Amino acid sequence: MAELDIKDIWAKGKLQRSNEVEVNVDEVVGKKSKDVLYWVKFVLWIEFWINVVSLPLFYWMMTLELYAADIYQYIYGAGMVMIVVYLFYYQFLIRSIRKFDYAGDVKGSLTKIYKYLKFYILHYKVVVWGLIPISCAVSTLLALEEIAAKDETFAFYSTPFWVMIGFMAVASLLISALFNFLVNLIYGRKIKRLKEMVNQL
Amino acid sequence: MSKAFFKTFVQQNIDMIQHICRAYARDAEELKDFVQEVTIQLWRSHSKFENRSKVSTWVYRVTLNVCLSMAKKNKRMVESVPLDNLNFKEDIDEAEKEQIELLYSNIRKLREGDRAVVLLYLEDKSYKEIAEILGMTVSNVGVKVNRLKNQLKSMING
Repeated sequence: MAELDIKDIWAKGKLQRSNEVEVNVDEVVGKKSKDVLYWVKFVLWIEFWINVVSLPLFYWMMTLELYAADIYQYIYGAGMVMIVVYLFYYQFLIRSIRKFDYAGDVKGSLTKIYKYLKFYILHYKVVVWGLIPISCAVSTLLALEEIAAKDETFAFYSTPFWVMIGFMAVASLLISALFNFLVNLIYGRKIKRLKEMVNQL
Repeated sequence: MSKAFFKTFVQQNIDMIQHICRAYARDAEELKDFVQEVTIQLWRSHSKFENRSKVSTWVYRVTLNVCLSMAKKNKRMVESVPLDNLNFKEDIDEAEKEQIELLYSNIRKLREGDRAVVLLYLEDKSYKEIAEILGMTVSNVGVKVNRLKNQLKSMING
């Protein structure tokens, strides 16, 4: 039996094919890519601009608190520093995605982008399950202090105290769960897809 | 590269792009998506193209990378039109028809990465070019091609 020539079979098969897809270059060139990186970049740009807008707002709130000279000025100041750090990180992520090229080291670049994004999502989890409950606890304690200063009958560890602590705990849990849901909704499928892409290459 | 030149360039390479995309797409709609995505990525990537490699190497690289990363993206549950089904012309006998169909369907059974190696081999690329396109070593390509070639032959022979 003669040796099977798969190259020859392939060439014969090619001759049987006619163009099934007509490409309108003018139309395609103006189109947006449908790949997951485009959507990640899109979401990052939205987050970047939300932070840009909130920066002067934090500054304005901090200047208001400067006259009061209390702890809030430090909170807003720390918030401003965090926003600036975020802005740099968004730009870093967006640039990494922009630099990505299908003609380059696709696996290497995708792995890097995946790791950066995973770190970013991890940071969100820390914020959601760590910072949000802490800030809820701090603001409740500050509120309780203010109440105690105004109302002399208010006693710590009294029933209203426990009610407020309980309310704060439930509220922070709900807020954290809501933010966690949002993070998963926005990034969950995208990061899963990126991992799939890396594994496939 | 001007848009007009790019248009001609795409027209010259569209057959090859479609042959590669067809091995990864599961239906006609997905094939269209893949070809469009490859065209978009070629346009985006052309400014970064340095003449260190052949243009064909660059086109194959972009096409395969897009296909590899887009494959399985949409787990559509709709009934797909199998792309292995060819509308044969009349000048071909039954035995050849069967061999072609078997080759196509068996290529699609291979893992995505292996499929890329086989497709480039069938497109008559040298081991060196395959290695360059897929970012592998030449010896690794040689080993893979031999293994996959024998695998396909035994699959076709039953």
